[in-house]
Amino acid sequence: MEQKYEEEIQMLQQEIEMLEAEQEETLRSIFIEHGDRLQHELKSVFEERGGAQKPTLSKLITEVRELEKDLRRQTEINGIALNECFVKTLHKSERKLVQQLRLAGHCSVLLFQVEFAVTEIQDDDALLRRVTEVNIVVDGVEFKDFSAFVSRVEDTKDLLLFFRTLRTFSERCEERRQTFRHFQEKYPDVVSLPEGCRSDLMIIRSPQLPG
Amino acid sequence: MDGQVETVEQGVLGHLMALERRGMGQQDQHESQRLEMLKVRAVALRAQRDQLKHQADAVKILKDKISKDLPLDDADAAGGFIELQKSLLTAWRMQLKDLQRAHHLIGGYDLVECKEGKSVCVSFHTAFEGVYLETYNMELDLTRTVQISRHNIPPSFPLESIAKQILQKDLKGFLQTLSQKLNALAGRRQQVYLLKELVGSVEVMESNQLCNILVLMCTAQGETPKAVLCTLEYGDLTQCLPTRVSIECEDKTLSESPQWKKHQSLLLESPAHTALLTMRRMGSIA
Repeated sequence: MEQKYEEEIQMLQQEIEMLEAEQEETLRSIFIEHGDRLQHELKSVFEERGGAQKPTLSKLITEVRELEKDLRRQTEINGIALNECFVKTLHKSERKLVQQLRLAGHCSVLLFQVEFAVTEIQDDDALLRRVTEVNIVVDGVEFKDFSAFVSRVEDTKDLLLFFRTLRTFSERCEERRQTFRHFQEKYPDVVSLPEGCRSDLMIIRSPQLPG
Repeated sequence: MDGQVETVEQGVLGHLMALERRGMGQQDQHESQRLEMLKVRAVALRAQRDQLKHQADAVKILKDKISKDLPLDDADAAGGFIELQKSLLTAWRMQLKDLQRAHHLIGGYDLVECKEGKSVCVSFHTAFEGVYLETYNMELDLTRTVQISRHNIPPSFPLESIAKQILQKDLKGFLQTLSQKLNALAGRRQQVYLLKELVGSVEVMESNQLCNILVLMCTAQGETPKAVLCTLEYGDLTQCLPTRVSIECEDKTLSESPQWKKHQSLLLESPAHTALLTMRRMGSIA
């Protein structure tokens, strides 16, 4: 008799785990496909203040507001804006989690797309986390000589180095852009930017001197 | 007819036997209590499972409606509309949490405001070759000037000098420099660890807290095994690779040999443990 219950309990627990995982995936997929529309629909819910909000929703609304605020903070301090974030959970158990993430965003004007897999193992008192695959695509005229670096980062799986470097690189590009623009504005006859102010090419040609 | 009577008898007999068993002392009491508990648990789980199924169905309907571009606010009943909004908000919350995690995983500072905005706490995540290593934390007081109030960065690290140079002028630059140097430190330290783990035959003669100097003793293979001392100096604290490598051996012909010149380059260009594993694989060292 006991055994029957125990078996049923185990089966129910598995079913519940599966349903929860399924629910997570479905909700994620809804947001991936229709995020903009949903945010639009929910705007009216958000705009209600005070007693007009239903109590069951108000906790969720507060949470979402807080999360949005926190995300703005992280984006500002990290200098990295994430426009897309797809998460796929490949394996989830008590001690192990394997996920695939696909991120797209920008660092100032530099666009990137990064796909990576991360494995987390709970080992008694320590959490071991490692990145197992990295794929990076960068877009922009500034990235002409970046491909060697990107290959190296993909080989060494150094995700953190990529984003640190992206930040520094973006700042330098911005400085260069401003410098070029400044020169062009000040000396329009002599200075030309054949590829625009975002490129790495500035030509100085004096009309009086040869060459 | 007989069969029927038999089964009834068996039923009654069985029941009597059960009653008899139940009358048999404490053991049985425990068993029946446990049985009760299991029963209760099963019922609770069943209810949870059913509720989840119900929610899953509601969400699937929602997804369907959205895919077909149907209006969402003409739900059948007021209650239905709230369920809908709840699902939408839950989906949104999930996405926001995913984004938070993403920022965390790509090495973000996980900035947290404390003391009503008077101070902030930041984290510096470090990693090497895909493995996440230590996280260092720091609280910055923002009341008048920016001051470091608490941190757990190792004392050997030149924190004060970096703070003096950049902190007041450029907070983000300060964080960036710190992150860069702490990652390089973690990387250098991890190389020493991996060296000991993977290349046990090489002895670490000297290393320090900042891991900016590493002296290794290897055994060169040959007719007679010879001790070779490799000194790796890390002059640039933002890097995981050494700026200078010197090879010393009693046998000068060995240390001057083209093979060891190549090894010297290898140690300059790749992480220490990788270089030594290569050297061992090539048969140069034990």
